[in-house]
Amino acid sequence: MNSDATPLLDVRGVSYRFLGVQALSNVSAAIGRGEILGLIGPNGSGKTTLLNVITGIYRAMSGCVLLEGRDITHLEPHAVAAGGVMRTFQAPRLFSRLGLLEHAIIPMSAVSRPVSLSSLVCNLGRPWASFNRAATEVLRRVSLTDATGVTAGSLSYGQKRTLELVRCLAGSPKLLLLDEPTAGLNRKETEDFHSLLGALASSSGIAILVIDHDIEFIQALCHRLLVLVNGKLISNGPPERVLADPQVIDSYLGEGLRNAVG
Amino acid sequence: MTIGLLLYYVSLLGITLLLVQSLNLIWRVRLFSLGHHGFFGLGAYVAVMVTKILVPKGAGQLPVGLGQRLEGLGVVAASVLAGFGTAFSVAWVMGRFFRRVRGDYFAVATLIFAEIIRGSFSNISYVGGGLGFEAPYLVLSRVGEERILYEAFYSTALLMVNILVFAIVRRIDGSVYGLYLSGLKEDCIALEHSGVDVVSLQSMLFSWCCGLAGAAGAMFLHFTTLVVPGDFSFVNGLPVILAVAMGGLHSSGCVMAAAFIYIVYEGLKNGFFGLLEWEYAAMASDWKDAILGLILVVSVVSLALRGRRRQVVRRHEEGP
Repeated sequence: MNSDATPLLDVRGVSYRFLGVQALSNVSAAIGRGEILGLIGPNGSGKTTLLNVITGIYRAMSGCVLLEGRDITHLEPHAVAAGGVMRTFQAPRLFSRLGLLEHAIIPMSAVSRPVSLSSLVCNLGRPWASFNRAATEVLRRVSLTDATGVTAGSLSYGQKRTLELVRCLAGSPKLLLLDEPTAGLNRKETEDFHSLLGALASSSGIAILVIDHDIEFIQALCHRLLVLVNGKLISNGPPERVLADPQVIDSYLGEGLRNAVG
Repeated sequence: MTIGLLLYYVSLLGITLLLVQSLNLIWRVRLFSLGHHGFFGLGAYVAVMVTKILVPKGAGQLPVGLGQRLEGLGVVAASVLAGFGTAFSVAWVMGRFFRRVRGDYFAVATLIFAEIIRGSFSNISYVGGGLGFEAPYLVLSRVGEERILYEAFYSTALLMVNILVFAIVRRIDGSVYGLYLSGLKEDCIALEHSGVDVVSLQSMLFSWCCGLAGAAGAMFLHFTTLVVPGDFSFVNGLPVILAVAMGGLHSSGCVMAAAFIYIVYEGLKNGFFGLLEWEYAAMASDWKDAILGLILVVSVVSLALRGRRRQVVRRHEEGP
Protein backbone atom coordinates (compact mmCIF):
# COMPACT_ATOMS: atom_id res chain seq x y z
CA MET A 1 0.00 0.00 0.00
CA ASN A 2 2.88 2.35 0.61
CA SER A 3 4.28 2.27 -2.90
CA ASP A 4 5.27 5.52 -4.57
CA ALA A 5 2.06 5.41 -6.64
CA THR A 6 -0.03 5.82 -3.48
CA PRO A 7 -0.44 9.49 -2.66
CA LEU A 8 0.68 10.56 0.79
CA LEU A 9 -2.74 11.99 1.58
CA ASP A 10 -5.84 11.11 -0.36
CA VAL A 11 -9.10 12.92 0.38
CA ARG A 12 -11.95 11.06 -1.29
CA GLY A 13 -15.39 12.58 -1.74
CA VAL A 14 -15.47 14.30 1.66
CA SER A 15 -18.62 16.18 2.67
CA TYR A 16 -19.34 18.10 5.85
CA ARG A 17 -22.35 20.10 6.95
CA PHE A 18 -22.93 22.62 9.77
CA LEU A 19 -26.71 22.46 10.32
CA GLY A 20 -28.04 24.30 7.25
CA VAL A 21 -24.65 25.14 5.73
CA GLN A 22 -22.96 22.67 3.41
CA ALA A 23 -19.32 23.42 4.27
CA LEU A 24 -17.79 20.73 2.03
CA SER A 25 -19.43 18.96 -0.91
CA ASN A 26 -17.81 15.83 -2.22
CA VAL A 27 -14.26 17.21 -2.08
CA SER A 28 -11.53 14.99 -3.49
CA ALA A 29 -7.83 15.84 -3.58
CA ALA A 30 -4.49 14.12 -3.20
CA ILE A 31 -1.03 15.24 -2.19
CA GLY A 32 2.22 13.44 -2.94
CA ARG A 33 5.42 13.21 -0.93
CA GLY A 34 7.44 16.43 -0.97
CA GLU A 35 4.70 18.28 -2.81
CA ILE A 36 3.60 21.78 -1.79
CA LEU A 37 -0.08 22.23 -2.38
CA GLY A 38 -1.89 25.56 -2.03
CA LEU A 39 -5.53 25.74 -0.98
CA ILE A 40 -7.21 29.01 -1.80
CA GLY A 41 -10.73 30.38 -1.91
CA PRO A 42 -12.91 33.12 -0.49
CA ASN A 43 -13.61 33.37 3.26
CA GLY A 44 -16.16 30.78 4.33
CA SER A 45 -15.45 28.52 1.38
CA GLY A 46 -14.53 25.53 3.59
CA LYS A 47 -10.71 25.62 3.56
CA THR A 48 -10.23 25.40 7.33
CA THR A 49 -13.11 22.92 7.58
CA LEU A 50 -11.21 20.65 5.19
CA LEU A 51 -8.14 20.91 7.43
CA ASN A 52 -10.31 20.15 10.45
CA VAL A 53 -11.71 17.05 8.74
CA ILE A 54 -8.22 15.84 7.80
CA THR A 55 -6.89 16.35 11.33
CA GLY A 56 -9.82 14.68 13.06
CA ILE A 57 -11.45 17.73 14.68
CA TYR A 58 -14.53 17.10 12.53
CA ARG A 59 -15.69 13.70 11.31
CA ALA A 60 -16.45 13.61 7.58
CA MET A 61 -20.16 12.93 7.02
CA SER A 62 -19.33 11.06 3.85
CA GLY A 63 -16.15 10.14 2.05
CA CYS A 64 -12.83 9.25 3.62
CA VAL A 65 -9.31 10.50 4.26
CA LEU A 66 -6.41 8.15 3.58
CA LEU A 67 -2.85 8.67 4.77
CA GLU A 68 -0.43 6.42 2.87
CA GLY A 69 -3.42 4.25 2.02
CA ARG A 70 -4.54 3.95 5.66
CA ASP A 71 -7.98 5.28 6.59
CA ILE A 72 -7.61 8.07 9.16
CA THR A 73 -11.13 9.50 8.79
CA HIS A 74 -12.24 8.48 12.27
CA LEU A 75 -9.00 8.97 14.16
CA GLU A 76 -8.71 11.45 17.03
CA PRO A 77 -6.53 14.55 16.43
CA HIS A 78 -3.68 13.20 18.58
CA ALA A 79 -3.61 9.95 16.56
CA VAL A 80 -3.59 11.88 13.27
CA ALA A 81 -0.69 13.99 14.60
CA ALA A 82 1.18 10.88 15.75
CA GLY A 83 0.57 9.37 12.30
CA GLY A 84 2.58 12.21 10.78
CA VAL A 85 0.05 14.96 9.99
CA MET A 86 0.89 18.11 11.92
CA ARG A 87 -0.93 21.41 11.62
CA THR A 88 -0.84 25.08 12.55
CA PHE A 89 -3.83 27.33 13.19
CA GLN A 90 -5.03 30.68 11.85
CA ALA A 91 -4.12 32.30 15.17
CA PRO A 92 -0.94 30.67 16.58
CA ARG A 93 -1.77 28.16 19.32
CA LEU A 94 1.18 27.93 21.67
CA PHE A 95 1.90 27.22 25.32
CA SER A 96 2.44 30.86 26.35
CA ARG A 97 4.28 30.20 29.59
CA LEU A 98 6.52 27.45 28.27
CA GLY A 99 9.89 27.99 26.65
CA LEU A 100 10.84 27.26 23.05
CA LEU A 101 12.60 23.99 23.77
CA GLU A 102 9.52 22.69 25.56
CA HIS A 103 7.45 23.38 22.44
CA ALA A 104 9.68 20.97 20.56
CA ILE A 105 9.99 18.43 23.37
CA ILE A 106 6.23 17.89 23.82
CA PRO A 107 5.51 16.55 20.29
CA MET A 108 8.88 14.81 20.12
CA SER A 109 8.09 12.78 23.20
CA ALA A 110 4.35 12.32 22.48
CA VAL A 111 4.94 10.93 19.01
CA SER A 112 7.71 8.58 20.10
CA ARG A 113 5.85 7.20 23.12
CA PRO A 114 2.03 7.52 23.41
CA VAL A 115 0.40 8.36 26.75
CA SER A 116 0.16 5.25 28.93
CA LEU A 117 1.04 4.10 32.41
CA SER A 118 4.21 2.38 31.23
CA SER A 119 5.27 5.52 29.40
CA LEU A 120 4.57 7.58 32.55
CA VAL A 121 6.65 5.22 34.69
CA CYS A 122 9.52 5.17 32.14
CA ASN A 123 9.48 8.95 31.91
CA LEU A 124 9.64 9.36 35.71
CA GLY A 125 13.28 8.43 35.59
CA ARG A 126 13.93 10.55 32.54
CA PRO A 127 13.85 14.32 33.01
CA TRP A 128 12.64 16.19 29.93
CA ALA A 129 15.96 18.01 29.74
CA SER A 130 17.30 14.82 28.13
CA PHE A 131 15.42 15.81 24.97
CA ASN A 132 17.24 19.15 24.82
CA ARG A 133 19.74 18.31 22.10
CA ALA A 134 17.15 17.11 19.60
CA ALA A 135 14.89 20.09 20.43
CA THR A 136 17.76 22.54 19.93
CA GLU A 137 18.40 20.98 16.53
CA VAL A 138 14.79 21.65 15.46
CA LEU A 139 15.06 25.26 16.64
CA ARG A 140 18.31 25.60 14.70
CA ARG A 141 16.58 24.45 11.51
CA VAL A 142 14.21 27.41 11.70
CA SER A 143 16.81 29.84 13.08
CA LEU A 144 15.06 30.37 16.42
CA THR A 145 18.00 29.49 18.66
CA ASP A 146 18.58 33.14 19.64
CA ALA A 147 15.32 33.22 21.57
CA THR A 148 15.70 29.98 23.54
CA GLY A 149 15.72 31.68 26.95
CA VAL A 150 12.29 33.28 26.66
CA THR A 151 8.71 32.04 26.93
CA ALA A 152 6.46 31.72 23.90
CA GLY A 153 4.18 34.51 25.16
CA SER A 154 6.93 37.09 24.86
CA LEU A 155 7.85 36.33 21.23
CA SER A 156 6.98 38.61 18.32
CA TYR A 157 4.06 37.56 16.11
CA GLY A 158 6.37 36.36 13.34
CA GLN A 159 8.41 34.31 15.82
CA LYS A 160 5.22 32.79 17.17
CA ARG A 161 4.34 31.64 13.67
CA THR A 162 7.78 30.07 13.36
CA LEU A 163 7.47 28.48 16.80
CA GLU A 164 4.21 26.86 15.73
CA LEU A 165 6.15 25.40 12.85
CA VAL A 166 8.73 24.12 15.36
CA ARG A 167 5.95 22.36 17.28
CA CYS A 168 4.97 20.65 14.03
CA LEU A 169 8.48 19.79 12.86
CA ALA A 170 9.44 18.25 16.21
CA GLY A 171 6.76 15.63 15.68
CA SER A 172 8.60 14.30 12.58
CA PRO A 173 5.71 15.03 10.20
CA LYS A 174 5.16 13.57 6.75
CA LEU A 175 2.59 16.24 5.99
CA LEU A 176 2.32 19.80 7.27
CA LEU A 177 -1.01 21.60 7.17
CA LEU A 178 -0.55 25.35 7.47
CA ASP A 179 -3.58 27.55 7.97
CA GLU A 180 -2.85 31.08 6.76
CA PRO A 181 0.78 31.09 7.94
CA THR A 182 1.52 34.57 6.57
CA ALA A 183 -1.53 36.30 8.07
CA GLY A 184 -0.24 39.24 10.12
CA LEU A 185 3.33 38.98 8.80
CA ASN A 186 5.09 41.81 6.98
CA ARG A 187 6.65 41.36 3.53
CA LYS A 188 10.12 40.50 4.91
CA GLU A 189 8.70 37.93 7.34
CA THR A 190 6.59 36.44 4.55
CA GLU A 191 9.65 36.08 2.33
CA ASP A 192 11.61 34.45 5.16
CA PHE A 193 8.73 32.07 5.79
CA HIS A 194 8.57 31.25 2.10
CA SER A 195 12.30 30.40 2.01
CA LEU A 196 11.94 28.31 5.15
CA LEU A 197 9.05 26.24 3.79
CA GLY A 198 10.74 25.78 0.43
CA ALA A 199 13.92 24.55 2.15
CA LEU A 200 11.95 22.20 4.38
CA ALA A 201 10.07 20.61 1.50
CA SER A 202 13.19 20.16 -0.63
CA SER A 203 15.55 18.99 2.14
CA SER A 204 13.31 16.70 4.17
CA GLY A 205 10.66 15.64 1.66
CA ILE A 206 7.82 16.84 3.88
CA ALA A 207 4.61 17.50 1.95
CA ILE A 208 2.92 20.81 2.72
CA LEU A 209 -0.69 21.85 2.32
CA VAL A 210 -0.94 25.58 2.81
CA ILE A 211 -4.00 27.84 2.99
CA ASP A 212 -3.34 31.50 2.34
CA HIS A 213 -4.85 34.64 0.85
CA ASP A 214 -1.46 36.04 -0.22
CA ILE A 215 -1.64 34.94 -3.85
CA GLU A 216 1.91 36.08 -4.60
CA PHE A 217 3.24 33.94 -1.77
CA ILE A 218 1.09 30.97 -2.78
CA GLN A 219 2.03 31.24 -6.44
CA ALA A 220 5.74 31.41 -5.69
CA LEU A 221 5.69 28.57 -3.15
CA CYS A 222 3.27 25.94 -4.40
CA HIS A 223 3.63 23.24 -7.03
CA ARG A 224 -0.12 22.93 -7.39
CA LEU A 225 -3.24 24.86 -6.33
CA LEU A 226 -6.73 23.82 -5.28
CA VAL A 227 -9.58 26.29 -5.25
CA LEU A 228 -12.58 25.84 -2.97
CA VAL A 229 -15.71 27.91 -3.40
CA ASN A 230 -18.83 27.29 -1.30
CA GLY A 231 -17.45 23.92 -0.25
CA LYS A 232 -16.88 22.74 -3.82
CA LEU A 233 -13.55 22.17 -5.48
CA ILE A 234 -13.67 24.26 -8.65
CA SER A 235 -10.09 24.08 -9.87
CA ASN A 236 -6.99 21.94 -9.38
CA GLY A 237 -3.68 22.26 -11.20
CA PRO A 238 -0.43 24.21 -11.59
CA PRO A 239 -0.61 27.80 -10.23
CA GLU A 240 -0.36 29.48 -13.65
CA ARG A 241 -3.28 27.51 -15.04
CA VAL A 242 -5.47 27.80 -11.93
CA LEU A 243 -4.92 31.54 -11.56
CA ALA A 244 -5.90 32.05 -15.19
CA ASP A 245 -9.03 29.92 -14.85
CA PRO A 246 -12.05 32.19 -15.58
CA GLN A 247 -14.15 30.43 -12.95
CA VAL A 248 -11.49 31.15 -10.26
CA ILE A 249 -11.23 34.76 -11.39
CA ASP A 250 -15.00 35.21 -11.25
CA SER A 251 -15.56 33.63 -7.87
CA TYR A 252 -12.37 34.55 -5.98
CA LEU A 253 -9.59 36.57 -7.59
CA GLY A 254 -11.43 39.26 -9.52
CA GLU A 255 -10.00 40.98 -12.57
CA GLY A 256 -7.77 43.38 -10.60
CA LEU A 257 -5.93 40.63 -8.75
CA ARG A 258 -5.49 38.59 -11.92
CA ASN A 259 -3.77 41.54 -13.57
CA ALA A 260 -1.63 42.10 -10.47
CA VAL A 261 -0.31 38.52 -10.35
CA GLY A 262 0.16 38.60 -14.08
CA MET B 1 -2.64 18.43 74.37
CA THR B 2 -1.35 14.92 74.92
CA ILE B 3 1.04 13.24 72.50
CA GLY B 4 -1.63 10.65 71.70
CA LEU B 5 -4.10 13.36 70.71
CA LEU B 6 -1.45 15.14 68.66
CA LEU B 7 -0.68 11.94 66.74
CA TYR B 8 -4.43 11.38 66.26
CA TYR B 9 -4.72 14.76 64.55
CA VAL B 10 -1.56 14.10 62.53
CA SER B 11 -3.16 10.89 61.21
CA LEU B 12 -6.35 12.70 60.23
CA LEU B 13 -4.24 15.38 58.57
CA GLY B 14 -2.42 12.59 56.70
CA ILE B 15 -5.73 11.28 55.33
CA THR B 16 -6.79 14.81 54.35
CA LEU B 17 -3.42 15.37 52.65
CA LEU B 18 -3.84 12.21 50.58
CA LEU B 19 -7.20 13.51 49.37
CA VAL B 20 -5.79 16.98 48.70
CA GLN B 21 -2.75 15.71 46.76
CA SER B 22 -4.87 13.43 44.61
CA LEU B 23 -7.57 16.06 43.94
CA ASN B 24 -4.86 18.57 43.09
CA LEU B 25 -3.55 16.30 40.33
CA ILE B 26 -7.11 15.78 39.01
CA TRP B 27 -7.67 19.53 38.80
CA ARG B 28 -4.30 19.93 37.09
CA VAL B 29 -5.51 17.78 34.19
CA ARG B 30 -8.42 20.19 33.87
CA LEU B 31 -11.01 17.84 35.32
CA PHE B 32 -13.01 19.90 37.78
CA SER B 33 -14.11 17.11 40.09
CA LEU B 34 -16.31 18.01 43.04
CA GLY B 35 -17.05 14.42 44.01
CA HIS B 36 -13.70 13.31 45.40
CA HIS B 37 -15.30 12.55 48.76
CA GLY B 38 -17.50 10.03 46.91
CA PHE B 39 -14.44 7.94 46.00
CA PHE B 40 -13.20 8.38 49.57
CA GLY B 41 -16.53 6.97 50.81
CA LEU B 42 -16.49 4.19 48.23
CA GLY B 43 -13.07 3.06 49.44
CA ALA B 44 -14.20 3.16 53.06
CA TYR B 45 -17.34 1.09 52.42
CA VAL B 46 -15.45 -1.45 50.31
CA ALA B 47 -13.05 -1.74 53.26
CA VAL B 48 -16.08 -2.32 55.50
CA MET B 49 -17.16 -5.21 53.27
CA VAL B 50 -13.66 -6.71 53.12
CA THR B 51 -13.39 -6.47 56.90
CA LYS B 52 -16.80 -8.11 57.36
CA ILE B 53 -15.82 -10.95 55.05
CA LEU B 54 -12.31 -11.54 56.41
CA VAL B 55 -12.90 -11.00 60.13
CA PRO B 56 -15.13 -13.72 61.56
CA LYS B 57 -18.26 -12.63 63.40
CA GLY B 58 -17.83 -12.62 67.15
CA ALA B 59 -14.04 -12.37 66.98
CA GLY B 60 -12.51 -10.52 69.91
CA GLN B 61 -12.52 -6.72 69.64
CA LEU B 62 -8.91 -6.42 70.74
CA PRO B 63 -6.02 -8.05 68.91
CA VAL B 64 -3.83 -10.22 71.10
CA GLY B 65 -0.54 -11.88 70.20
CA LEU B 66 1.73 -11.44 67.20
CA GLY B 67 -0.13 -13.90 64.97
CA GLN B 68 -3.46 -12.17 65.42
CA ARG B 69 -1.89 -8.75 64.90
CA LEU B 70 -0.22 -9.88 61.67
CA GLU B 71 -3.51 -11.33 60.48
CA GLY B 72 -5.12 -7.98 61.30
CA LEU B 73 -2.42 -6.20 59.33
CA GLY B 74 -3.23 -8.45 56.39
CA VAL B 75 -6.91 -7.49 56.62
CA VAL B 76 -6.01 -3.78 56.73
CA ALA B 77 -3.74 -4.20 53.70
CA ALA B 78 -6.43 -6.14 51.81
CA SER B 79 -9.00 -3.43 52.65
CA VAL B 80 -6.72 -0.67 51.43
CA LEU B 81 -5.98 -2.55 48.20
CA ALA B 82 -9.66 -3.32 47.65
CA GLY B 83 -10.59 0.33 48.38
CA PHE B 84 -7.96 1.49 45.92
CA GLY B 85 -8.93 -1.05 43.26
CA THR B 86 -12.66 -0.36 43.44
CA ALA B 87 -12.31 3.42 43.36
CA PHE B 88 -9.76 3.09 40.54
CA SER B 89 -12.06 0.85 38.47
CA VAL B 90 -15.14 3.03 39.00
CA ALA B 91 -13.16 6.16 38.10
CA TRP B 92 -11.76 4.45 35.01
CA VAL B 93 -15.29 3.57 33.82
CA MET B 94 -16.47 7.11 34.66
CA GLY B 95 -13.50 8.58 32.79
CA ARG B 96 -14.43 6.54 29.69
CA PHE B 97 -18.16 7.18 30.06
CA PHE B 98 -17.71 10.94 30.49
CA ARG B 99 -14.98 10.97 27.83
CA ARG B 100 -15.99 14.29 26.39
CA VAL B 101 -17.80 15.75 29.39
CA ARG B 102 -15.69 18.56 30.74
CA GLY B 103 -15.85 21.68 32.90
CA ASP B 104 -19.02 22.40 34.83
CA TYR B 105 -20.74 19.28 33.51
CA PHE B 106 -17.95 17.07 34.81
CA ALA B 107 -18.17 18.81 38.20
CA VAL B 108 -21.91 18.13 38.35
CA ALA B 109 -21.48 14.50 37.22
CA THR B 110 -18.87 13.78 39.92
CA LEU B 111 -20.91 15.56 42.60
CA ILE B 112 -23.99 13.50 41.72
CA PHE B 113 -21.87 10.34 41.76
CA ALA B 114 -20.64 11.17 45.27
CA GLU B 115 -24.19 11.74 46.50
CA ILE B 116 -25.32 8.45 44.91
CA ILE B 117 -22.51 6.63 46.75
CA ARG B 118 -23.43 8.24 50.07
CA GLY B 119 -27.16 7.73 49.56
CA SER B 120 -26.74 4.09 48.50
CA PHE B 121 -24.54 3.07 51.40
CA SER B 122 -26.88 4.86 53.84
CA ASN B 123 -29.52 2.34 52.81
CA ILE B 124 -27.47 -0.86 52.74
CA SER B 125 -27.85 -2.56 56.09
CA TYR B 126 -24.93 -4.93 55.38
CA VAL B 127 -22.54 -2.00 55.87
CA GLY B 128 -24.47 -0.52 58.77
CA GLY B 129 -26.90 1.72 56.88
CA GLY B 130 -27.49 5.16 58.34
CA LEU B 131 -26.03 4.14 61.71
CA GLY B 132 -22.67 3.40 60.18
CA PHE B 133 -20.21 0.59 60.81
CA GLU B 134 -17.89 0.04 63.71
CA ALA B 135 -14.77 -1.86 62.73
CA PRO B 136 -12.84 -4.00 65.20
CA TYR B 137 -9.30 -3.08 66.18
CA LEU B 138 -7.15 -5.25 63.96
CA VAL B 139 -3.47 -4.48 64.48
CA LEU B 140 -3.30 -2.44 67.65
CA SER B 141 -5.95 -1.01 69.94
CA ARG B 142 -6.59 2.32 71.59
CA VAL B 143 -6.98 0.67 74.97
CA GLY B 144 -4.56 1.55 77.75
CA GLU B 145 -0.92 2.22 77.04
CA GLU B 146 -1.19 0.73 73.56
CA ARG B 147 -2.98 3.88 72.43
CA ILE B 148 0.24 5.84 71.78
CA LEU B 149 1.54 2.93 69.73
CA TYR B 150 -1.75 2.83 67.80
CA GLU B 151 -1.67 6.53 66.97
CA ALA B 152 2.06 6.37 66.15
CA PHE B 153 1.53 3.39 63.82
CA TYR B 154 -1.18 5.07 61.74
CA SER B 155 0.40 8.54 61.74
CA THR B 156 3.75 7.10 60.61
CA ALA B 157 2.14 4.93 57.93
CA LEU B 158 0.09 7.87 56.60
CA LEU B 159 3.08 10.20 56.72
CA MET B 160 5.13 7.73 54.70
CA VAL B 161 2.39 7.24 52.11
CA ASN B 162 2.07 11.02 51.80
CA ILE B 163 5.80 11.49 51.34
CA LEU B 164 5.77 8.77 48.68
CA VAL B 165 2.85 10.38 46.82
CA PHE B 166 4.48 13.82 47.07
CA ALA B 167 7.76 12.44 45.70
CA ILE B 168 5.97 10.72 42.79
CA VAL B 169 4.07 13.91 41.92
CA ARG B 170 7.33 15.88 41.99
CA ARG B 171 8.94 13.31 39.69
CA ILE B 172 5.97 13.60 37.31
CA ASP B 173 6.41 17.38 37.35
CA GLY B 174 10.07 17.02 36.43
CA SER B 175 9.36 14.57 33.61
CA VAL B 176 7.89 15.13 30.17
CA TYR B 177 4.47 14.39 31.71
CA GLY B 178 4.96 17.54 33.79
CA LEU B 179 5.31 19.39 30.49
CA TYR B 180 2.09 17.80 29.26
CA LEU B 181 0.34 19.05 32.42
CA SER B 182 1.68 22.56 31.86
CA GLY B 183 0.69 22.36 28.19
CA LEU B 184 -2.79 21.19 29.14
CA LYS B 185 -3.19 24.23 31.36
CA GLU B 186 -2.07 26.55 28.54
CA ASP B 187 -3.78 25.15 25.45
CA CYS B 188 -5.51 21.80 25.33
CA ILE B 189 -6.05 21.90 21.54
CA ALA B 190 -2.40 22.67 20.80
CA LEU B 191 -1.40 19.80 23.08
CA GLU B 192 -3.72 17.35 21.34
CA HIS B 193 -2.41 18.44 17.93
CA SER B 194 1.13 17.88 19.22
CA GLY B 195 0.27 14.18 19.44
CA VAL B 196 -0.62 13.98 23.14
CA ASP B 197 -3.67 11.83 23.85
CA VAL B 198 -5.26 14.30 26.25
CA VAL B 199 -8.32 12.17 27.04
CA SER B 200 -6.17 9.15 27.97
CA LEU B 201 -3.90 11.35 30.06
CA GLN B 202 -6.91 12.74 31.92
CA SER B 203 -8.58 9.33 32.35
CA MET B 204 -5.36 7.73 33.57
CA LEU B 205 -4.55 10.35 36.18
CA PHE B 206 -8.21 10.61 37.22
CA SER B 207 -8.36 6.83 37.84
CA TRP B 208 -5.13 6.72 39.84
CA CYS B 209 -6.03 9.74 41.93
CA CYS B 210 -9.53 8.43 42.68
CA GLY B 211 -7.91 5.09 43.57
CA LEU B 212 -5.76 6.97 46.05
CA ALA B 213 -8.89 8.56 47.53
CA GLY B 214 -10.38 5.06 47.87
CA ALA B 215 -7.25 3.85 49.67
CA ALA B 216 -7.48 6.89 51.96
CA GLY B 217 -11.10 5.90 52.71
CA ALA B 218 -10.02 2.39 53.72
CA MET B 219 -7.28 3.81 55.95
CA PHE B 220 -9.83 6.18 57.46
CA LEU B 221 -12.05 3.24 58.40
CA HIS B 222 -9.27 1.30 60.10
CA PHE B 223 -7.87 4.36 61.82
CA THR B 224 -11.10 5.80 63.23
CA THR B 225 -12.79 2.33 63.41
CA LEU B 226 -16.14 4.01 62.76
CA VAL B 227 -17.67 5.26 59.54
CA VAL B 228 -21.09 6.84 59.07
CA PRO B 229 -22.50 8.08 55.74
CA GLY B 230 -22.24 11.70 56.97
CA ASP B 231 -18.42 11.38 56.91
CA PHE B 232 -18.62 11.37 53.10
CA SER B 233 -20.98 14.29 52.61
CA PHE B 234 -20.11 17.25 50.42
CA VAL B 235 -19.80 19.50 53.48
CA ASN B 236 -17.19 17.19 54.99
CA GLY B 237 -15.36 17.14 51.65
CA LEU B 238 -15.33 20.93 51.48
CA PRO B 239 -12.01 21.44 53.37
CA VAL B 240 -10.28 19.29 50.73
CA ILE B 241 -11.74 21.32 47.86
CA LEU B 242 -10.88 24.52 49.70
CA ALA B 243 -7.27 23.42 50.27
CA VAL B 244 -6.81 22.63 46.56
CA ALA B 245 -8.44 25.93 45.53
CA MET B 246 -6.29 27.87 48.00
CA GLY B 247 -3.04 26.08 47.28
CA GLY B 248 -3.22 26.69 43.55
CA LEU B 249 -2.06 24.12 41.06
CA HIS B 250 1.23 23.40 42.79
CA SER B 251 1.89 20.21 44.73
CA SER B 252 3.66 22.00 47.60
CA GLY B 253 1.15 24.88 47.69
CA CYS B 254 -1.79 22.56 48.13
CA VAL B 255 -0.02 20.62 50.91
CA MET B 256 0.59 23.83 52.85
CA ALA B 257 -2.96 25.03 52.23
CA ALA B 258 -4.29 21.66 53.40
CA ALA B 259 -2.34 21.91 56.64
CA PHE B 260 -3.65 25.44 57.21
CA ILE B 261 -7.27 24.55 56.44
CA TYR B 262 -7.07 21.40 58.53
CA ILE B 263 -5.72 23.26 61.58
CA VAL B 264 -8.39 25.96 61.22
CA TYR B 265 -11.26 23.52 60.62
CA GLU B 266 -10.34 20.93 63.23
CA GLY B 267 -9.33 23.73 65.60
CA LEU B 268 -12.76 25.34 65.30
CA LYS B 269 -14.41 21.96 65.69
CA ASN B 270 -12.49 21.05 68.85
CA GLY B 271 -12.00 24.39 70.58
CA PHE B 272 -8.52 24.69 69.12
CA PHE B 273 -7.42 21.37 70.51
CA GLY B 274 -8.58 22.09 74.05
CA LEU B 275 -7.00 25.54 74.28
CA LEU B 276 -10.31 27.47 74.32
CA GLU B 277 -12.71 27.69 77.26
CA TRP B 278 -15.74 25.47 76.69
CA GLU B 279 -18.21 28.29 75.92
CA TYR B 280 -15.86 29.76 73.30
CA ALA B 281 -15.16 26.30 71.98
CA ALA B 282 -18.89 25.68 71.52
CA MET B 283 -19.27 29.01 69.71
CA ALA B 284 -16.30 28.24 67.43
CA SER B 285 -17.77 24.85 66.63
CA ASP B 286 -21.13 26.44 65.74
CA TRP B 287 -19.44 28.91 63.40
CA LYS B 288 -16.93 26.55 61.78
CA ASP B 289 -18.86 26.00 58.53
CA ALA B 290 -19.60 29.71 58.15
CA ILE B 291 -15.92 30.55 58.71
CA LEU B 292 -14.87 27.89 56.23
CA GLY B 293 -17.33 29.35 53.70
CA LEU B 294 -15.86 32.79 54.29
CA ILE B 295 -12.32 31.48 53.69
CA LEU B 296 -13.58 29.84 50.48
CA VAL B 297 -15.12 33.11 49.25
CA VAL B 298 -12.00 35.12 50.09
CA SER B 299 -9.67 32.60 48.43
CA VAL B 300 -11.83 32.33 45.30
CA VAL B 301 -12.03 36.13 44.99
CA SER B 302 -8.27 36.50 45.50
CA LEU B 303 -7.60 33.73 42.95
CA ALA B 304 -9.93 35.43 40.46
CA LEU B 305 -8.15 38.75 40.99
CA ARG B 306 -4.76 37.07 40.62
CA GLY B 307 -5.92 35.36 37.42
CA ARG B 308 -7.24 38.65 36.06
CA ARG B 309 -3.96 40.38 36.86
CA ARG B 310 -2.00 37.62 35.07
CA GLN B 311 -4.31 37.91 32.08
CA VAL B 312 -3.63 41.64 31.85
CA VAL B 313 0.13 41.10 32.18
CA ARG B 314 0.04 38.40 29.52
CA ARG B 315 -1.93 40.61 27.13
CA HIS B 316 0.56 43.38 27.77
CA GLU B 317 3.47 41.00 27.05
CA GLU B 318 1.89 39.55 23.95
CA GLY B 319 0.86 42.91 22.53
CA PRO B 320 -2.19 43.55 20.35
